[in-house]
Amino acid sequence: MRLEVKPVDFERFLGIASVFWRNNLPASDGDRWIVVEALHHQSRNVLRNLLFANALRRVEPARILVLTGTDEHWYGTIWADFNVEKVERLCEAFHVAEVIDVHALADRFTAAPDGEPPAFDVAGERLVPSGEGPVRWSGITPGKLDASTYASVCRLDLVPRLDPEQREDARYTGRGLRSAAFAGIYETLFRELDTVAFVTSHVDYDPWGLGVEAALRHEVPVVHVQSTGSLKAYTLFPEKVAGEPEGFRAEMTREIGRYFDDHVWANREIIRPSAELVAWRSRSNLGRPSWWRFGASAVCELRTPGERAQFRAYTMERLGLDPALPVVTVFNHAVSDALGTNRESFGDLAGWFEETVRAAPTLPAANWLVLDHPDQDKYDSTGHFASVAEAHASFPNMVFMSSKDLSKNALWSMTDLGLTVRGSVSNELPAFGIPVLQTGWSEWSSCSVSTVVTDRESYWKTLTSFIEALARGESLITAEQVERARLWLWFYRGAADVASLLVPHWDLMPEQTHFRALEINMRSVESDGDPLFSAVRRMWNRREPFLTRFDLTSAEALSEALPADPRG
Amino acid sequence: MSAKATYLLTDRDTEETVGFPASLTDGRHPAVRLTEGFSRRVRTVGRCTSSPSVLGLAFPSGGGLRLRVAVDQHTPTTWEDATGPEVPRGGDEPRLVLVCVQRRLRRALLLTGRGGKRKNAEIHLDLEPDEVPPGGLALVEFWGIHEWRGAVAVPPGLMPRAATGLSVLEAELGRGPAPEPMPRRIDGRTSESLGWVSTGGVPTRKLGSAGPVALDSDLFVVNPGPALRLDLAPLPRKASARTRWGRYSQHAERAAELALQALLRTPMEAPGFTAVDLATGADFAVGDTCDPDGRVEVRLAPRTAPVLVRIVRSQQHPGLRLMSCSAEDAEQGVADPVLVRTGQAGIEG
Repeated sequence: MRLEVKPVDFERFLGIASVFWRNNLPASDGDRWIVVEALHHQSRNVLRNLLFANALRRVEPARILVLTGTDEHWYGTIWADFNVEKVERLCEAFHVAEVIDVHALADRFTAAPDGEPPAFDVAGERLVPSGEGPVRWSGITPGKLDASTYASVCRLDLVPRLDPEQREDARYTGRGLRSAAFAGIYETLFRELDTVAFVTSHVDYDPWGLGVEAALRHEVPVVHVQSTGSLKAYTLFPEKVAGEPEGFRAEMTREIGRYFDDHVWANREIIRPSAELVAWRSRSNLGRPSWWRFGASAVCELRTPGERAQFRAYTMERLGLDPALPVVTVFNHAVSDALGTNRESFGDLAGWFEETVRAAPTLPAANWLVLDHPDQDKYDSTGHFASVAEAHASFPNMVFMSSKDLSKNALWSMTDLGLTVRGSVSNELPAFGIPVLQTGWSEWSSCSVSTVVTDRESYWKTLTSFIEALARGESLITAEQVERARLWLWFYRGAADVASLLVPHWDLMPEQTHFRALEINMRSVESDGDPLFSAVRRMWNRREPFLTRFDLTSAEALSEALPADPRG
Repeated sequence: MSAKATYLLTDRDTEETVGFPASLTDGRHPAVRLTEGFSRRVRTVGRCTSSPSVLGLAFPSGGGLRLRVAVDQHTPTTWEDATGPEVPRGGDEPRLVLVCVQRRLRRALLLTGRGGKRKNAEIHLDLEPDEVPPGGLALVEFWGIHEWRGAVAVPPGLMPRAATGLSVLEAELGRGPAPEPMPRRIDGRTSESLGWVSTGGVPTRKLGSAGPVALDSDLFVVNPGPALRLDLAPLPRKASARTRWGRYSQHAERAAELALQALLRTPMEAPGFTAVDLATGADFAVGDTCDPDGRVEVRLAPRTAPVLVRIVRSQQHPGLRLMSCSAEDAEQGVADPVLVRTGQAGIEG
């Protein structure tokens, strides 16, 4: 964990936090455990996980086991700093019963001979790995384990994919052994401990994803605390999974879709005025989460068809596109981001991008605006986007650029159809009447906001028919899709974003300020009725898939909670 | 969601009425409807942060549009911050900025702000009612010559990304044409202030005063308008004589003047002029005559687009200053200039 807080301030914070939790936690001397991940270098992630876990202890009294540590790959490639001692001090203040350096334990697992499982202690109880099968001391299938290794290596090496030789080399093999060690550790923990929940800031890559996988197999609820906004957390309860779990993200996509239809879409008449306000704020780049653009270029000021047409003419000229043709905008994703963790029609993100760009010249009835992800430099070291752009440099009506080089005004004035796998443009653009074709799943992809295709064949067929329809001047989006997209914005940015004095907003930085804000609130504000506690209790008792600000299941409660239409 | 003309709107959008004519000195004014590559400011309309940069202004159905722009001490730092490492860093080269309104090239500005000194320029033009679409938006585009997608070959020695850092100080929207009688001739500085020509911009302390204007480079712009005659004269002193103390020393000025006269007595080739239409990239005919004192008269035919004029002169030539501009037509010799602001210094009726 990286924590840039003055030592004297950190000590004061720890003292106040310790007293606060002493007074706000039930006795938890039993045998039940909440397993909390503290493997990310961002102290905000660790803090949120601990805050959530302690709120959950008020519902399900349990002890907390924190998993922390790092290894040379994560430290060398992505982490800026990692201080295990600070994690331990923080855990002490949050009344955590046990802290395990899971990376150090993984070293022991990796080095252990086959017949000598590396036993380890949790609060004085000896846990012994066991299990028969192709993966040592874990019930995970070799395919799932290898998928996790593959995604981790791609992310750590900042590459979109690995070739067969790279999958045989020492680095990959070593990472595979480490993945197997994580699988064995998580298997042992969730099999041996009576676990209330696994609370984690991430659900992908080997240190986190293998924990999620083991928790799902052992029917432990998984809480995914989000790295954005006030406090957002998604929870997958084992009883909500029918049959063999497909994976955390895929199961959550289905769960969110069901909930959205049952409680958000069904109450749209009540929610509509609030959804319109959130849409207005979103267009003006107010509020969070909205992490993919910042500053003046992140505001859409277009309001009328006339303004859009005027601005479009300028932008088309600027980019050298044919003003007579519609514009299809391809939103390249961060190419090594959590590969294979939800349903996608193509082998990987780069594959979808390459094939789509390759197909563009065969669909000349459109201009093609190809945009790279704004944070691609954190996900790709191979120059993938530039190489694809270079290979297609000679094609007319095709422009490659970083999305950061284009304002929202320009982007929204031009785009007639957006293409993405899982990007947030697939909920943002439809909210303002711009259709999106999605070739993969995302949190909102079961909410009927975008057009989601399930395989390659239907992707090409739908893409072709959409371009033909645009050429005929037909609309590709319905009023219902627009309304659903605005309801999603409201739900994501409002209803499922719990504002609590005990959870500083993600954007409240630097860390010194973040911790100072929490310290003041713990010291100065009485805790009864804090939304952190009520939201966690409501979600847990009702087995809802996410935290909510208020009761979304009751029309009466919603009517009471939300403002009436200001227009009367 | 109520029925709206477009899904861009939400139920929370409100229409802020703008009264015309409108004077803007604040980027938060409701008339500033949309921008790209432009940072709104408080005591000025704002500053271009990219090249091209766009300003969408609410506008009535036709009328006058005046913009006052400048390069200043913040221009180089804005340029440096906003421009990627792939663009070569040069010195203080002149900035040639093309101004489009409603997608048509209307004016060009040549601005030289050496050492961060503020140089001002103005854009005056009239929009016809049929040029402003329903809803009323004047879309003003500032393009650096390097980014301009026209047919013009970029002359050497100009700053790339030239619009980046340009400050838009104020704007007047929808004012009617000036009723005063038109002048026959205006001095160099006034013709620069009115945007007839653009030779580098007017220093702030000289705004509103009459006089010649020194050509800071061997390029200048003549903007659209009737046939024009430009009177140019050699610079009165060599640039090397303009020391800090020399500005206050009659002795130094006299020495420089004598040096200039001595220079002019030596046989020297008269400067030549070439010009290019910035809309088409085609050569534009320039007539020039030079008298024995080194004064030059340059004539240009009526223009529908800005024309970039290049001065070809020997290294010994001291440089030129623009003394005056006269609007002409073929029949009467002097025509009514179309771009005049009332009360402007230096206008000869």
